[in-house]
Amino acid sequence: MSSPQITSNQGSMAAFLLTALMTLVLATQVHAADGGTRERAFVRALEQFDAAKSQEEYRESARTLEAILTDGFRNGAVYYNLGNAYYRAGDYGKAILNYRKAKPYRPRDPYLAANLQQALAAAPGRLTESPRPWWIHVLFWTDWLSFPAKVRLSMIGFSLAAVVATTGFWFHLPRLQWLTIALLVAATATSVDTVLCRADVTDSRRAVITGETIARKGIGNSYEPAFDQPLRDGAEFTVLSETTDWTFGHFESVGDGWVRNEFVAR
Amino acid sequence: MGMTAHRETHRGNATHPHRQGGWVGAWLLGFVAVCLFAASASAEDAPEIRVAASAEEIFIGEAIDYQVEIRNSKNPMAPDLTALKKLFDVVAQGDESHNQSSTFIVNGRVSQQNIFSHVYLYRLTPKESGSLMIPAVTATIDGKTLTSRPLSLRVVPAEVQDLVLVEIEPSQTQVYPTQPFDLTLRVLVRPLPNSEDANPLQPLRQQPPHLQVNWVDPIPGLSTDDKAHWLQPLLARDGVGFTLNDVSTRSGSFFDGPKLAALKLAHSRQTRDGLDGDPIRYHVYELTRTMTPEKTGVYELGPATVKGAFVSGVEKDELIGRRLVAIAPAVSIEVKEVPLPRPPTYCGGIGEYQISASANPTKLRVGDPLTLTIELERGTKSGSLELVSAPDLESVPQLAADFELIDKNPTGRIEGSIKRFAYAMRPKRPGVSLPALSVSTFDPGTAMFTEINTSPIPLDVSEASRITSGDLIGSSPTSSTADIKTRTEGIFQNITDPSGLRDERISLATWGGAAAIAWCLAGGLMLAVTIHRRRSSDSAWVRRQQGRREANRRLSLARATLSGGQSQEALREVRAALIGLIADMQNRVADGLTTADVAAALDATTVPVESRDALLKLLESIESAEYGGGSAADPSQAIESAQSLVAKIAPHLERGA
Repeated sequence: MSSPQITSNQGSMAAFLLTALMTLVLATQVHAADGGTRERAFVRALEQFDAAKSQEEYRESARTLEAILTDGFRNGAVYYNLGNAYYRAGDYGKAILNYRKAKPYRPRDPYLAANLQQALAAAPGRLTESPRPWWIHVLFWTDWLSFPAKVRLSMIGFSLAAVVATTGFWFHLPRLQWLTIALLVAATATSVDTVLCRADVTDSRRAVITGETIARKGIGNSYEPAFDQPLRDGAEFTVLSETTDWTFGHFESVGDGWVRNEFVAR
Repeated sequence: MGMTAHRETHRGNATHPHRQGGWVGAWLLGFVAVCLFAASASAEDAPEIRVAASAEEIFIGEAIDYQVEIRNSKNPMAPDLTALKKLFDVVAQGDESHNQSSTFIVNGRVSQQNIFSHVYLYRLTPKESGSLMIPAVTATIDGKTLTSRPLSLRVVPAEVQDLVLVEIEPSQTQVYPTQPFDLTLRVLVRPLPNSEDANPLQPLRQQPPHLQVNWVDPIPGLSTDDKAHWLQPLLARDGVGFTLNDVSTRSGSFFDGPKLAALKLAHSRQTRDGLDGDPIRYHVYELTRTMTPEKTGVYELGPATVKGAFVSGVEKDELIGRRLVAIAPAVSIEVKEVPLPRPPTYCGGIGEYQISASANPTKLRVGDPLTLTIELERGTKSGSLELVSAPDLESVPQLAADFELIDKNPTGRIEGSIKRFAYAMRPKRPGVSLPALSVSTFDPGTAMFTEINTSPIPLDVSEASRITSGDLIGSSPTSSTADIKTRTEGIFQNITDPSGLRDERISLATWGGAAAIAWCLAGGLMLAVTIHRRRSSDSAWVRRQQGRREANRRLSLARATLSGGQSQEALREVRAALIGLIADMQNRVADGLTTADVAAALDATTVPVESRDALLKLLESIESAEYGGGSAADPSQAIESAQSLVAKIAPHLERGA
């Protein structure tokens, strides 16, 4: 009596696994559609970069790369090359910004890290960097995994936990219960890391000063300067609020101030 | 009902209580985690944009407050007001977030409601009169363009009259940065009809006329003294005067709120021709403000309006009032660039400055660092220190020859009226001193450049014991070392492989949803298994489920036995199959059941009579054959009949159960 039942259960399990896998595969292909336009623009930007002799020509390469990033397209390689183009153009603030944008997608790229350090060193307006949050030490893998990998891993972890839980339940395998809990804990921790890193990718409040400007204590040049020195290219800050023409930011170890949007890159 | 179900659940799980509870707990934990994660990424209501204006009708020269609210967007962007700028002067008044987040717990069920609202405030001043339409504004939220509704606004024009005149007069129309100029608002009010010399504002003290001037508050690029400091001496204690913008006072009473302050402006008389050509000796009221331009450009000051009820005549010894608005057109002030050519030592200063220099230390050896501090002190009528840049010391030949400049373009530090530049440098040779340094500034009064000088600073520079070129910062490093080190200068090359150009966007909602589906499937599967297992522990249910199969199995066994030549044994198996079917279906003990018992059992079911009779007949024939009391039954026919009967009566027995 039990033999045919098991066969039936195995069939259901296979169907379940197939459904789950199909769901995950379909999810990965949501953004898969892309034409060759971006690839051509990418190659053209590389050619422009290689042929550039002046800062303006490097900026032209940067503009071509910026065009790739329209419609919400995200790619670490494009951000990296964009950072290089702005670095060569002497726009260190924009270079830093784009290297930082590339970081969630290329966390283990040593060249990215080196170029970011180089841009920070070259930027005349570099400020003290904000200390790393405490949870970085707890979620120690956060610098190893890219943001998309974190999302996929956490969700695959949850799904795998569901499969393992069902398998253990079906076949009376109590040891799998611990494996399920372990998977859930790992997936939850990765999810927490993902949520914490999400702001850097989807809703970044990070911004940078792109030219010498004076931070004010209010909206308007009539307000007193907020700091005793002007801000310069490469000064990174956190956006607190913004209007059409002005952005209010927190500058680490300096304070808060309003700057005109024409000197701000995000 | 709930209690019963609860008990049954425990009874059903009694075989593995701990294991079952653990799995359900794990499932709940996983499902809640996935749902919470997915909820954070779920879409909210569609974003929308709403606009509102503070008034529907105003006089020309007045402004309205315009509010743009963007709802249901976590990351609102400032609206595009380009369409408004043709008809209105638009001044941003800031923005504020009205986001709300509420969590409800009802019967243990947690739900969260988030309301996102961001309000942008603007002040609109119409550029023309008439029935205007405030055009729709747009905002781009999450890639979608939202458009507001347009609003109507009636702007009443000023009428031509000679009762009240108003004008703005600058002392100069062209100035240089930091060159102060006066701006005067002049209001001419016709004398009272019954008293030429009486103050025409006296009868209006209950409701003083109102002035609206756009240069009361600071204007970017033009510095003025503090507004309170400027207006405080003008406060009219008797309430006779003009109110100005939103300048208000407090009465000191706790219960009274602020009220518009009446200002007593400088008063004089002036004769001008009226509309009919007759001279009118107006009462003149003047409000003057001194402004200092800080940056070049053209500044539009005004228009200014005066609005209120003024005395226009007398009737039966009573004054007649007339409500009107008078407008002074705007005036332009051009703040010109400092003329070219400029001396190479020009530092950007405009006005009067004093310069001084100091060095520390003054006694040092060749190669030791020293700090040269240059201080530029601003005079009272001088331009902003922010315009002043660091003097270029490399252009001073003697300094460049004698010193190695470490910091060639230091960032100045402003403290009060002084800006300090600190240069780090090293003497290259003994016996050198710091020469006098020249800096040029521009004097707007004479439109000439003026050179100001520091005093020379004597230094005591002695010979160093030994110094190499490598000791000087900025010099080329020597290649005396054989160790190869990584150069930090420069950047690593681009990524050139286009195959990596995939869209790395990722949808948290999609992935969260996939995991949630996985857990829902798992939950459904576990529930189904639980129900199945609970039923499996019901022996009657199990017997019933297995009864037909067991009967068929025994009939198969009977066939096998018959083929082995054991006909009696085969018939016994046939009987056992039929009796067993009845017993299994009705949860009876099969042993000892007689044909009479079977007949009684079948009477209580829906088994058709012919099938019942056939079954009983078959049983009786088998019993006869077994005990020799009747005609012998054909075993193979008995098996086939039994097979047929099982198929016929089993469904009725299952239903009947």
